[in-house]
Amino acid sequence: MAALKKIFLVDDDHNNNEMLKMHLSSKFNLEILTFSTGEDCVRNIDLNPDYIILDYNLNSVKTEAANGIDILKKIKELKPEVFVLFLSGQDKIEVAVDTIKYGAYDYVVKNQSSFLRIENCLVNIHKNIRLQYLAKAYRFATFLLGGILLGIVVMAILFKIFGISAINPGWI
Amino acid sequence: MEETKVSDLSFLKQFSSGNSAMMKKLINVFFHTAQDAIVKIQGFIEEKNWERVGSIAHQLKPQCSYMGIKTAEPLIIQIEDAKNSDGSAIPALFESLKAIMEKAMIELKEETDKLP
Repeated sequence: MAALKKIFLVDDDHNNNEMLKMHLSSKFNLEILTFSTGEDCVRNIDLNPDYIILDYNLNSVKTEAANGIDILKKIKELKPEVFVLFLSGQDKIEVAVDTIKYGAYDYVVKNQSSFLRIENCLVNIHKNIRLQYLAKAYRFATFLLGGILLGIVVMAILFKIFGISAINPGWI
Repeated sequence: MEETKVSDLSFLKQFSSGNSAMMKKLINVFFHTAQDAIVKIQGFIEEKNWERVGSIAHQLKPQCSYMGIKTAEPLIIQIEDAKNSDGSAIPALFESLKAIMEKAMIELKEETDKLP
């Protein structure tokens, strides 16, 4: 059985974390962990999440808490393979561009459609992973088939050079 | 003449698939968040701490969106933007926001009471 995918929800807005948790658990079979600060998320990064949904402003409760971009940089330094999605009330384009620059998969503005958009992002990530896997398998199959064909050609040339007949090779 | 409503629970109904218990829970959490935010913003306005006013107001934005309080969103954006200037516009903006939030909370309370 495939291991359950793990997702971290990081938001200082408890209500938003709960609503997103409700939505995702009704759509996917995921292990969902919630954190109210980025620092808590980074402290638990060894739990190996597959996806992280990260808010940009994380200092409404703890004023000294780092913002989402600093946490994203830390996550990418520790686990570059994790898919990080930004979910933020901040709709300034420069913030969104920065998050993508530092390795976020996508940036979703918090509003009524954000739950559906996050759901679509997760589906797209899953499709991309599957496509990458298929591309790898295709490359391997092509390599294997090429090797077999090359072997046959080499054998045919050798047979020709040494005058061995395929019907009566001479050792029967 | 019926007064125009400031809240709209269409999204919440759709989100909770009509589950009344879930709707009540989310509305109650909103009450708690909104009341807490209003008190905190008032305190930070007195301290003229515009940065914190903007930060707390920012947190209200998605919650207002979920409760369909559309008129609150532009005010919150203006408060967020005003924190970068001298902040003198913030108290008046906050009073308007507070009035909308209080009206929305009365409406939401009425809606909650109607739920089975």
